[in-house]
Amino acid sequence: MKAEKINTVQIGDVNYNADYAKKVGEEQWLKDHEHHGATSEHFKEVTKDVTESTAPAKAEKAKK
Amino acid sequence: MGVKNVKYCNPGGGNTGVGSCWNDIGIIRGFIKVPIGKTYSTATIQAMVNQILLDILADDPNQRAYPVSGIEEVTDNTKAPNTLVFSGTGREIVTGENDYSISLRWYDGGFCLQQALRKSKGQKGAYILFDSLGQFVCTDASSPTNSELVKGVVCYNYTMPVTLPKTNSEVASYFTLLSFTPEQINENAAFIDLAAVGGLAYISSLTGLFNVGININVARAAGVTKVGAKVIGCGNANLYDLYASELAVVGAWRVRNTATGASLTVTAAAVDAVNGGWTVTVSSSDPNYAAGAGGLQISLAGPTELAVLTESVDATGYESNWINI
Repeated sequence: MKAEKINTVQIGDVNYNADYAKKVGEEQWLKDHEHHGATSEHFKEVTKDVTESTAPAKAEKAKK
Repeated sequence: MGVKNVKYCNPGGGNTGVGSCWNDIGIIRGFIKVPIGKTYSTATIQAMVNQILLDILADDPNQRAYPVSGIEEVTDNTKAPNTLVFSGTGREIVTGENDYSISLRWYDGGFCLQQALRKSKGQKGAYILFDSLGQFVCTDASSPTNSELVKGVVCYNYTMPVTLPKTNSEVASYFTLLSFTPEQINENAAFIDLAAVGGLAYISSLTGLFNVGININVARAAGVTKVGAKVIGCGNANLYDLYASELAVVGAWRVRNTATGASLTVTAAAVDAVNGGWTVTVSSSDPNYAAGAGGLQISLAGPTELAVLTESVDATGYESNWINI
C-alpha cells in the first residue's frame, strides 16, 4: 500500500503533523498537544512550513 | 483442415544442439514463497530481484514473499516413474510420472521458523527455489506477447512436527516437504542465474519480516498513548534500542477505531525516553475517536513504510500487531 505523504515539522523531540495543524487551527491544536508543551509560537512554526511546502503547487495550479 | 482426430504432438522432438555451457540444477539451498500465479519479469536480473524485495515488504500477507534460506539437507523421496512390462513382448513403457517429493531440512531459525512455516502447512503455494549454483529455479510463465516472465513452482507444502534429538550428538530436526508436478521444473523450467548480484550468498541474505508486538507503556489519556515495540519471541529485539528516533515520527504509527476500523489522524509522535518507547497523539476531536478504554487500536505503519523509515539503520523488515488502547 502506498502511504499518503504527510507534511511534518520537527520541534525539539516532537514530530508534528503539519497538515493536521493547518486543518484544525490553533485552538484545537494547542488543546491536542498541551502535553508536549505546545505554544502559539510552535503552532506558527508548524503551519508556516505547510504553507511554504504547498505554495509551489498552488502557483503551478494558478499558471494552468 | 479441422481438428477432428488430430493429435497435436511434436514428432521431431526438441532440437538437441547445446553449447559448452548449459543450465544445470544444483542442491536446493532455500526457497521463497511467493503469491500463486504472480509473474516476475526476467527482463533483467535486477528487475526480478527488485520485485521480490518489494514483495517481501508487501503489506498484504497474501501478496507477500517469504524467503527461507539455509537448507542443510535435501532428501528426495520422489518415486520413480511407473512402468509397465508387456508380458507378451517384454517391452517396458512408462505409464506415468510421479510428483516430486522433497524434504528440506534446516537448522538456522529452528523452532521460530518452524512455527512460522507451520502456519501454511498443508496448503498449496508457489515457491521460487534457489540452489547451490546461485540460481532461482522457477516455472516459465511466458505469454505470446512476453517471453520474459517466470512464476513460482506450485507446490503442496507441509512443515513437519519437530523431531526431537535423542542423544547429545544430535539436534532437533526441522523439515519442510515440498511436492510438485514434474513438468514445472522440467519442460517448463526457468532458471535465473544470479551471479550478477552475488549468487547464492546474496539470495541467502534475503530475510523475511519480523513480527513486532506493541505494548502499552502508559495507558491512553485522552488522545495520548505511550507505547513500546519489541520483536515477538525469537530475537526479542527492542525497536526502541534500534530505531528510537526513526520511529518518533507521525508516519511510523497508525491508529484506528476498534469498532469501525476507521483511521484516525496521528497528530504528533515523540520519543518517550522515560519508558523506552514513543508518545503517540491523536485528537480527541477526531471524528473516529472513541473515548473508552480499548475503543482505539494502535500499530506501527506497514512494512513498506517502516522499511523507508529504518533503512538508514538496516534493511530488516517488520510487521506489527494492532493492540487496543
